[in-house]
Amino acid sequence: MYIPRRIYKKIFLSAMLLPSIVVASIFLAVPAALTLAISLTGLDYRFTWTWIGLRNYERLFRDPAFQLIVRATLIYVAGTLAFNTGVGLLIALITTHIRKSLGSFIRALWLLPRVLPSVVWAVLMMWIFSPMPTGFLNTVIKSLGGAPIPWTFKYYWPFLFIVNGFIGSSLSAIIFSSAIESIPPDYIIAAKVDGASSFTIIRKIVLPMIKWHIAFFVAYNTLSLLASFEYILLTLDGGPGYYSTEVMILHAYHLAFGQYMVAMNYGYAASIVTILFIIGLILSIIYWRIFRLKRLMLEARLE
Amino acid sequence: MAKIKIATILLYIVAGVLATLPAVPLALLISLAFSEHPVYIHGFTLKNFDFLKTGKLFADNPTYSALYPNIYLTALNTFLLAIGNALLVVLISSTAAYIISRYNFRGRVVLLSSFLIMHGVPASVLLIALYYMLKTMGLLNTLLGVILVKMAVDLPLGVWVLKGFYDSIPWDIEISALVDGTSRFGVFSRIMLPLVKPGIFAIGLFSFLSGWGEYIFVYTFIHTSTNWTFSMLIRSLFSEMGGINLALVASLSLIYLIPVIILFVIGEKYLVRLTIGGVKG
Amino acid sequence: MVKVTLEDVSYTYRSGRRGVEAVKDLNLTINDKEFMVLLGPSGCGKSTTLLLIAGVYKPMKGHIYFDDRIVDDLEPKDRNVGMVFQSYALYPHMTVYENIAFPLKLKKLSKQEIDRRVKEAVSMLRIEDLLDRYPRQLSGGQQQRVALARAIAKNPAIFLMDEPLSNLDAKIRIEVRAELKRLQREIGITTIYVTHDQAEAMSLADRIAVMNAGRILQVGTPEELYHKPANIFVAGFIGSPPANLIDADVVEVDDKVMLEMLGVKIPLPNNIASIVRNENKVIFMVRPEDIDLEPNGEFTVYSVEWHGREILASVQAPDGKTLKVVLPTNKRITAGDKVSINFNFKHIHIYKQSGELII
Repeated sequence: MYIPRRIYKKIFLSAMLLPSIVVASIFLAVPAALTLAISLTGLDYRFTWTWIGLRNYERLFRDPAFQLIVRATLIYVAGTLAFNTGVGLLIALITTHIRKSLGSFIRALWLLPRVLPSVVWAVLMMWIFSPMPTGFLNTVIKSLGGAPIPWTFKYYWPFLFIVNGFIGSSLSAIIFSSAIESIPPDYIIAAKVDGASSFTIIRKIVLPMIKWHIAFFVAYNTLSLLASFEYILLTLDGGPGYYSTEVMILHAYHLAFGQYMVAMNYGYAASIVTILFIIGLILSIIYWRIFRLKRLMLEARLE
Repeated sequence: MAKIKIATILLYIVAGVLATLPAVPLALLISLAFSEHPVYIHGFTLKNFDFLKTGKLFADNPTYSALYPNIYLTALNTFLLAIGNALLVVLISSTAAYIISRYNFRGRVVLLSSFLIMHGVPASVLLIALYYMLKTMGLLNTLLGVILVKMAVDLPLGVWVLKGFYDSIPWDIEISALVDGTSRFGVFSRIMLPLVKPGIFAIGLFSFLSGWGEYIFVYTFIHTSTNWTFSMLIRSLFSEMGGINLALVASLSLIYLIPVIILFVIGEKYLVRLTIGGVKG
Repeated sequence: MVKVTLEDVSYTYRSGRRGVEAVKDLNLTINDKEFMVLLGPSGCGKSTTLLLIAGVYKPMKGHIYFDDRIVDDLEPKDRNVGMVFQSYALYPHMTVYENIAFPLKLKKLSKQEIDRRVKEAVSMLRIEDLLDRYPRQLSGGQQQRVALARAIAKNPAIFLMDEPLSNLDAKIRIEVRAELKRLQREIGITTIYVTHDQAEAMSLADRIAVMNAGRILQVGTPEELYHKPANIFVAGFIGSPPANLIDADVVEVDDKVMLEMLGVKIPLPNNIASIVRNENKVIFMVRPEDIDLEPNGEFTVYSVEWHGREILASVQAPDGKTLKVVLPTNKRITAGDKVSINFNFKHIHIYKQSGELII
């Protein structure tokens, strides 16, 4: 059966392209818009739409918990970002200065926590740093004659930084090391010939040349950390105590899906999420401008 | 001369420390799984793996046992989620990425940028709306619902990575195939697809692991324990048995980890390439 | 074995907001069994023309005919053309045999027929022992032969070649060039060949179409283009070393028409004088081999290159401009010599400032 060229082309393009567009629209685009809509309603366990305008937001700003959750979010993002960037940079610098095969091996090892299912990593960390005498670190301390340390009760932020940091550092380590390895060796050789020490080379040549990568990672990571909560949920769940590590997105989650009577408060929870959306949007626009991401789009040629 | 040697030794010591850090927790897990004591690492035994015989946890305590689903059923659910995600992501992204890479159509840049944005947005912000949608669609508490949501979240990365692979194939090969007599679909299936096999493998691997380890979606959307995946089972075991029988949690986790380790060893290079590709664009 | 006609063909690339007019109002006829070369600099539209004929692009204006059939809407697979690329475009995941057999498999020919044709094609190109290798294991020249074999095995009506020899070493290029010509004669297929190398075009073509900026400037046999270039672009493009193109003023001194150029006044023979006397500013074209040097004069020899069969000299005029001159090797000149020049007026051309031919 002869199908005219234009029609065949249209059918072909649609069939190949449509599934992705449909899926992305239904499960990604629509929920985004829906969240905004829900934030303007009083949607809760009764599942009825009642438009209440900006009342959720008013309630949110007057909520005494709001200050706590914003503070928690800021500490979480700043601390984890610092850990990710710092440790990642350290790993990258070290693994690119030793034998190549060993370097790749170490980076691969660091990829492991990231690849593990989140529950396993969380359970492991909780056990190692458990404040109980049965926690791994505490059993080691006890066997050495010391008293158990209340790790997650007292040092909960460092704990979270470590838990999330092991996940995030592998990403930055990979990005930074590939950036370092793509620096033309001529620069390094010229510097060595000029008599620079390794530290100077790192400070004056390597770091400036991967500036863009570091900035890019910081930008990308802040965006993802703003809304990341899986490991907090699996370990401290916002505690210990009252909202010490309850970041914004976690609070929204508790409000919607938690186990107490405050739960199933979808409208109110959605307002927190919408605020995060807006912050993320503003940051993204700034990043887009800074990094001029348009050039990532290549030209297509078939007609 | 001696100065340089010291610096290099120091370097390698630090490298060694770095190497052991991520490995230590895993080593501890393995020791705990085989431990004779339920909470400390001590000795070696296989009795923590008794559940493998029948799939029932706490086989000698029927009241406990009834609270938890059969291990093999849970394994099946986890597998279905993982393989369903992998197949759907590969299928949909390989076709879409080809068109985006090769054809100039109206809205191409818009579509590509949208995928980029969707990749950067963490799925956590969509949970509330997705819950409402799945409930309305009747897909709440079903594995299918979770698979669809997971697949949608992993799709943008697949499109971007595969687009990169398609971009790297020279145009002449495609024109040659068209002239040689393939239909437009034939170019895709006979020439382009075989040539992006590494990319397909990488995305498939990544999506499988992503589905295999998924927790949040299962926790949020699934309520009946017969629909649980491993992640839910381990989580609930830990919160209830955490101080009592850690070794069981450890042994279960080890079983859960086996496919992950195997796939990691096989495909580590691909995963590294993916991480770079996924972030760069 | 087909005649190809392009009638007022136009095509524009969509690049962002603006478009790039790749081909504009193109008119060209390629005769049956002819070896036609599309010659021009990069970006002149020659490859686009090829892809239009192949059917990968559809003309936005105008039509393309094979014999007398309009083929605008025909997909590439239905046009029965064989195509060879600069990059060879061999399928990396298939062996040489599978590469050549690919179009035949698509045509759903029988296994025996496919085998027969593949064997025939490889023997014609003398690559019989490469059948089991993969493209990455072959040298450039070998890959090119495989690409040719793939096109031949199809038994197409038209050969389309896009700079197939540009990636080969100079020595191999000359060998393959000769073989290509012989092959085309033997098989007798209409061939359209694209290149930017004018020497290649001159040696291979029955006729050449010189293109620039999406338009055809002149079509003719190599001899016609060499001796009667229709405008300055063609004049300057064809021939190596290239022709000298000199700005000149037409002046009258004592009733004699002269050309003032290079700082001197050159008298013109009567037949030329009468045609150009009413012109003002013109461009004078003379090929290096049509200039002769005599001792003593206002010109200085700037440099001399010895090329085995001939001498290539750069001669500086009083106004500072240089002329390229080709001389037989028995002529003894060195840099610094003072000389005067003579033109062979039978072979010169004069053009308007806009580029058109006057004589």
